[in-house]
Amino acid sequence: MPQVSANPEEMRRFAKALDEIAEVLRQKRMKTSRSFENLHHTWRDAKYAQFEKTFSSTLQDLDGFLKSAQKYSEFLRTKAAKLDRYMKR
Amino acid sequence: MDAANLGSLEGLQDLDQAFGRFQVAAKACLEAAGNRLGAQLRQLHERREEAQRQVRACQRAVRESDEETHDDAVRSLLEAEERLREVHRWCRSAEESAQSYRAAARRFEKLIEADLPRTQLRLRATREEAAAYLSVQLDGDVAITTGARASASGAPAPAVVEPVAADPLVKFPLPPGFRWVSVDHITRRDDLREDEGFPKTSENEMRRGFGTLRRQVLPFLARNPGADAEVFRELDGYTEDRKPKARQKTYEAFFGAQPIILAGPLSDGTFSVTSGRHRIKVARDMGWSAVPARVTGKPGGYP
Repeated sequence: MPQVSANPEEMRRFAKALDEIAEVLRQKRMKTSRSFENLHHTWRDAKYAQFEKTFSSTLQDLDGFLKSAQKYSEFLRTKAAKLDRYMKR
Repeated sequence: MDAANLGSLEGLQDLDQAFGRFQVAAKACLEAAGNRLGAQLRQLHERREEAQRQVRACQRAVRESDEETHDDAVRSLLEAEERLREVHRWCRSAEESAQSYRAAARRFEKLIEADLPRTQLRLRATREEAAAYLSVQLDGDVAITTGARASASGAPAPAVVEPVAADPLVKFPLPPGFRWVSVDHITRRDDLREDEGFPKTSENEMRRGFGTLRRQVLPFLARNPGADAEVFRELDGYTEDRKPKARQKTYEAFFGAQPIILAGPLSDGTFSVTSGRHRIKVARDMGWSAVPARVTGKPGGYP
């Protein structure tokens, strides 16, 4: 049975927190990517290729999280707006 | 009001319908009460006319009376006049009451003709807003979880790809250490080659095993978390199953010493098959959306 039990302000607060953490992660990810590119100047053995593959996969996971975080945030804000309209009735 | 709290969306719909039914019933009730009141007033008026006729008859009798009948005629006239006054009082009282009722009835009528439909409209708008809130969904691809999860020990745990949530199969809980993995997230590179057969267990027997898993083992595990091979052995013994060890064998095949073991995820997000290629083929052929598997770390991962 569908129910409605939620606080739009709390939803927006969490969406904001999510945006903030995503922004920090986005910046750190860019910085780490740049550092990783430099790493190859000094690490040239066979293990590097193996590490690069694993590290790239992890970066992809992180990108997936950032994309999800953005969608979660949009989702929460849309929900909160709908909830506002419901509560004004 | 900071938060919304609506117990049931259907409740609003039920209330709307109840208002509709109330409106119809209230109109019928008002109409019946109005008819009844009119009938009673008419009866009182008829009685007043009758009392007036009696008074006139008594007045005539007094005028036509002689000395002998005069006193009786006057007494009858006085009694008739008293009855007429009594009926007048009743009529006045009834008309006052009727007027008061009609005023209340008009207010009530306005309520059911105007206020109630307005309330229903508002209720419907509220329901639509609540439904709009509930209908906002996350995009499907966001629900897929990727990436390493930290285990309790702090070491990275293998990535998990959730199976198709719509399949009721994946709602069955699995023994500790196992999870449902979507067959779409198992790499096709490990598929059986065409020249590979089923040397240990025949394909038909495997299919029967999947059937037993779905129909008997998983439902039993859901009702009895923690049940192990020993429990299934006893269970097989208690029934007159023609294959006495069907459930125990099925349990052991999926959750025993040689379960389906997957490793990964690979760079494309899929899992490689360490053990269970034949079972995965049968699962795909039978249309299973997911298989229960043990998932280990990344193959060829660093270091």
